[in-house]
Amino acid sequence: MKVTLTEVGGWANLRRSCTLDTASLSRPLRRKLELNCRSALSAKVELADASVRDSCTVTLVVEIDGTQMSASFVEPGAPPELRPVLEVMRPLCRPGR
Amino acid sequence: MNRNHDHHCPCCFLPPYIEERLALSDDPVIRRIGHGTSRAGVTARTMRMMQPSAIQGRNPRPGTSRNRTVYDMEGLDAPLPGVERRGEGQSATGIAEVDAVFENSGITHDFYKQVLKRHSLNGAGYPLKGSVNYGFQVVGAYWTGDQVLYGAGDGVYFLSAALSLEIAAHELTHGLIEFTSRLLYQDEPGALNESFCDIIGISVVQYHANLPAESANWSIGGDLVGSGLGDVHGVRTFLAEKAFIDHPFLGTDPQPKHMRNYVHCSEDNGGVHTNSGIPNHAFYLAAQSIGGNVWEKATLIWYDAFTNALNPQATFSQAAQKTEAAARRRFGDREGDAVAQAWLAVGVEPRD
Repeated sequence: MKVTLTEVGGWANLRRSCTLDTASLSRPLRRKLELNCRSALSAKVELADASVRDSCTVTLVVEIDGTQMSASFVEPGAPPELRPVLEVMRPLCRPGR
Repeated sequence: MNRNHDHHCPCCFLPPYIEERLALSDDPVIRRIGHGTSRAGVTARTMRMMQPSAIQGRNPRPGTSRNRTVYDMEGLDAPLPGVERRGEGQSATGIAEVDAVFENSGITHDFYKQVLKRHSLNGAGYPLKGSVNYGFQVVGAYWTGDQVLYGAGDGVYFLSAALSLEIAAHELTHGLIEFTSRLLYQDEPGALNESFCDIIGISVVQYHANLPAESANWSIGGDLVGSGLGDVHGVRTFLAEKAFIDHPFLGTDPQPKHMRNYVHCSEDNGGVHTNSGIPNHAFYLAAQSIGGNVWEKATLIWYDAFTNALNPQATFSQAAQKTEAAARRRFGDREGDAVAQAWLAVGVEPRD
């Protein structure tokens, strides 16, 4: 599974992203991240809170055997299912346009 | 795709501090109203706030008392606002982010009061709430409709937003806008919304440091830049030049400084953080032309126009017309001409 996390916008109006091939992870970590990604992709996406300012859009793209699935969330307000994915992916992210 | 949408709703607005008072009432009926409105959440609150007849603070009453509370989310996303760390009258906690937000909220409050003659966000002492350490490696800060959330950054490329006076003033000013012009957060009015927050942010910084306009660097976001980004002085600038060019990570600063370069896009609510470069540069040009300390004239002109004269759908042209009129009304023709010339220089013709 190839996992790509991209964040765009926010106060600083920046983009940061990273891609991780779960094959590069140990077996337990790989299983955990793949499960977490599936949970995040199926999480209920709420309409963004209209009162929030300087929010950013977080997009998760998962590729399995050439098939891509993706979901976008607005932060703050992303579903809790995304959090375990962020904890793995954000430390790997670099800024970039 | 999850997108922001602004709403209008014919409901009445009840500020959170009144809701809290109601919730503490001895009368069970009133208490139920307080609890009910609080539970309705931020979205419903904002929908109520969008009702034009409920606009608060167009005739602010100067006051004296600060009302600050800083919370700690301890890296979590919910529930807001987190653990209370410091309230009004309490001594420093020793937690850098908490104490910085407390101080910076106070500096912003005092700027509103002493310079803008306004008592907090709504003109009537609206409580200033901030939560530090929001989420996991969150970059920047958010205004929720009720309070500010400060991210801790990643520690390498982006530092904690809680330590920045400019960011505190910017975010709180989003709240001030909701109590006045209610500029929609989309396309041109959204870019004006962002621009006004940048203008108050940089004005508070210059005022606090007693920096004359000609000595300031006019850069935004320098506090947020970590060592991983190298020699970058900010994420955007009021100046004509780019904040960064061909940076290995950031590329080139996308902000236009002239209407001919206005960016039409769907991201970021129609590029509100990008196209704000145009009104920001107009403000800079006006401030330079007027001269002196920015907070003594230019900021007041923009404040008059952006809080009392613009409507939620305002365009750049309307902002140009209203700021020019505000300058003539408050100061005279020299200042009015300077404002008009500044907008023309960024390709915006005043139009009502």
